[in-house]
Amino acid sequence: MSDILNPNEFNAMFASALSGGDNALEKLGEATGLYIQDKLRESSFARKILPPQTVTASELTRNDTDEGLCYVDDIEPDSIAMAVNMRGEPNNTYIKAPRYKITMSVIASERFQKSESELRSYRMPLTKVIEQNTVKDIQERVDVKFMRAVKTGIMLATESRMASLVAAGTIAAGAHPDKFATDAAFSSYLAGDLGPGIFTATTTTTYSARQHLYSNLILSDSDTFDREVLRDIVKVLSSRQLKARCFLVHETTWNDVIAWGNTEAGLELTSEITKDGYKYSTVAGYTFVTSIRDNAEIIAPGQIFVFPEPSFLGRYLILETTKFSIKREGRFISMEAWEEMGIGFGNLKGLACILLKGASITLPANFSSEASTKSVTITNNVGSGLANLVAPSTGPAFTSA
Amino acid sequence: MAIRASSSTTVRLNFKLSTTNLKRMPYVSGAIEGCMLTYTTQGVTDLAGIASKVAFLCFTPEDRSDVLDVYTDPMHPAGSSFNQETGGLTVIVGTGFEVGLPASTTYWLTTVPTAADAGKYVHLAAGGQVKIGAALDTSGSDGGTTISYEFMVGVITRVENGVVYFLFNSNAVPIASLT
Repeated sequence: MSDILNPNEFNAMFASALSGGDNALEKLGEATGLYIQDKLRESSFARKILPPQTVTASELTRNDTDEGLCYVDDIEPDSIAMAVNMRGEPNNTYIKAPRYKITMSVIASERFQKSESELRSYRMPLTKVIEQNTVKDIQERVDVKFMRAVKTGIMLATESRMASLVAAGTIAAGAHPDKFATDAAFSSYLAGDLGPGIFTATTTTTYSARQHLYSNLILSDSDTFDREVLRDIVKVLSSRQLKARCFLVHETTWNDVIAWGNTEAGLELTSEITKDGYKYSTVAGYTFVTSIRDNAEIIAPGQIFVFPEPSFLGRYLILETTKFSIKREGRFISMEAWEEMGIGFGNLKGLACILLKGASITLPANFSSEASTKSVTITNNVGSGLANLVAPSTGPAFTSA
Repeated sequence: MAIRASSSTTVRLNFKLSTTNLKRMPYVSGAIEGCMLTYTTQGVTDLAGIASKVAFLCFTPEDRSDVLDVYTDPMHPAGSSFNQETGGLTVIVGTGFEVGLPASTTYWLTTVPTAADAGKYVHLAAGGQVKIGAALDTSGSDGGTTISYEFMVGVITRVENGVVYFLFNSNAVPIASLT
């Protein structure tokens, strides 16, 4: 229960505000806005992975092409050090620091209405009514937005990794040095033998233990979640000079922990799990976040995402605070909540996902041989004799560029 | 100091925004402010066409960053770029209010304003555009003659300063087409 708003006090405040005029309703709206923000902090998993920071309008930049606001964030410039002798001088280099933009947009709950008579008949605290109708709406939408950005980031990071390996001469360029040529080329890049022919069209299903060196989306050889799966996915960040901090997993996948035996967890922990379940906040030193949501746009069973520290990831911004409005017209009361927010990732290398066997994920795709942007669904069919990639979907999961 | 320039939105409104039925629709490519939108049977946004039964008037330019935002890897700008939907589109649900669209072939299939007179109908055309229809052709409706229909979404009230104003309704009414 939130410390900010006691449900009984809120009910009393609500009742007196209904007859108190606009000022009383406005004060009630402010208090409720804080309550909603508190609840969102507890329930939205995006906030646990990337804690939001509040910004004011003065910290934002105006767009020159429209009436929106954005936040322009710097990315630290890269530099190298070198050894010089006593007469020597280091190389001169002119540094540049790229920037990225985080666009602000509004996430609003539905405007729900109720008559005063019906509200008076509610026995449960009105805070629960508000929570069920606004908090959950906003939280779901924020998590969808967050995960869309994550999935886009994984595709972009894999492209970027391919480009850097091509530039380093580690792999052949294929048809285009910055993008995959076709969906089959992308499929063969994810799994199978990674040699000079990786961009040839092939439907290979061989598991490769070196996928983390090449891709931010990797396919597991296992169909249940265990420490080997976690080991495989954190290696992606390690091979990008980053350290993983937390992983996100669907509750269904997390339930595999119940069946961990001595080899996965050790005798002592296994007996604890058998009795009380897994009670710790970390696995192998990495914190975990689970989601029970039944929404494939957010996370589906069999997908495990890993993230670095927020400072190596990006920003989640909220302009001022979550707002709540209550309006009364005659007998009817209408309420809505909204927040103006933006999420942006400056460093995409730290976004990674592993698919258990049989699991799938949909990512945006922009193959160099295709005229338009599509989305592709990647299904982990390692070992089953089926292709790892399904043809681009008929209805794009992501908006066309 | 701001430079003085035309400041009207493309879609002219002759009513209070607070009385308008505005709704959100997911983004679809080509949905410029002033075009007509509809839903496919799967519930996905589509540009309205000549056979659409329902049409909503798009009220948001598609290139606003609170509608759509381009997402790239800031450390690898030569790679792909993808549009992420931020706030989606805002559309007007037509309930008989007067709206205005500039007399431009961006929005109108036929040449306007010469063809646009008060009392003429606004029909749905292909690709989210609208076109002018004449008064209802009542001849040939008896004796089993087949009449093809188009879908009307408004009646023109006036043409002023290069803007065609019409009473807009979202439920397209079938009307005999011109032959």
